[in-house]
Amino acid sequence: MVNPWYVRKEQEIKSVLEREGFIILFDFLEKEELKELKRRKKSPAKKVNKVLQGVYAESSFSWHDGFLQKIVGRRIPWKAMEFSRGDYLIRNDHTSLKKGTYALFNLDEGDDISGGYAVFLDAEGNHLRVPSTKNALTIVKNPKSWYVKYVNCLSRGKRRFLMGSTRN
Amino acid sequence: MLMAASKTSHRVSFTTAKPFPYGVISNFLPKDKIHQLLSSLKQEPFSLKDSDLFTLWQTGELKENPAFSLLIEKFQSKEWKQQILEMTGIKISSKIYLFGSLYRKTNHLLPHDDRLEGRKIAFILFLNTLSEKEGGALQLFQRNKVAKKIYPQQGSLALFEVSEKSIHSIEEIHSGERWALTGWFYG
Repeated sequence: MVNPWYVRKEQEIKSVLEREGFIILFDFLEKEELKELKRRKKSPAKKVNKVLQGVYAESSFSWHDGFLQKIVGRRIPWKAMEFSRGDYLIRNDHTSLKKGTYALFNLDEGDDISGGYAVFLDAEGNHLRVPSTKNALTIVKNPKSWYVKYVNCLSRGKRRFLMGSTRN
Repeated sequence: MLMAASKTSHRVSFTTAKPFPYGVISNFLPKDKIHQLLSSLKQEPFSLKDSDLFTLWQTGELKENPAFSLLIEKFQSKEWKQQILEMTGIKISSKIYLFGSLYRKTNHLLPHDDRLEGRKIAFILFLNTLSEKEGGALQLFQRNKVAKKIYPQQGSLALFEVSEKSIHSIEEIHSGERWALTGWFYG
């Protein structure tokens, strides 16, 4: 279940997203829900190895949350992405994003020094660095592109995200 | 690999090298000159470059910097252009771009092809030596896999032809530092 505080603030969240173009919701899920999500994500992921675009693992992921649907206005299809040591996602024509709303949910706690953090960019090149905090949901409207920083040798584990998007 | 062989064999080994045309000239400059270049480079201001593709330290362009004039003069000499032509079959002009690069622990440069208008040959003059354990190899790719690793050897000059095939990266540094003078020869 979504953090009840956010459920009570639904209208405020919608207006911040509309006004600012993004919102970050820390402690988004309640403990049990997060645990369940992480348990479900243990299914094997398919490795993507396109060195000019990215090296990571991904798999489809079914997650339907009525609260998010209300915030975004549509149902969001999700995929799970895993970044291990040496993995990355580069910005290029292939990672340009179509106009729409994008959501990124952190399943794991990370530290920025080891890479593996996600960055969204808008049309003017402004960066929004997604916090590496577990159980944080970032929603961004109409980013132009995104990337995931190379996971370097200081990394101690995988960085797992759920990535959702819906067209305008 | 380009060692002290004949010019003909240089050209053959460069042009037929896999995964794309490259060569390494060992002991490109005498040791004292390399030490001098390294010492000059350490005096230069470096700035941190950080993006989706890389994290590394870089100087500005060094072409007009008197501390590197001997190297620039060598690269712009008729003899060098002729040597490059014989070695690679590629005609280069006097136009070059030269900068210093420094990679520290976790620094890296992800795969890319270097293509930009006029660039014919990319070069790296290694100013220090790194082992496999330390990282920092120039990695050449073929079909999404590393096909060749060239570890920094002090005084070696690595060269490769810039093309749609020249996908390469600099392996992450695991320990130590990697100092080099890097750039491109233009057509």
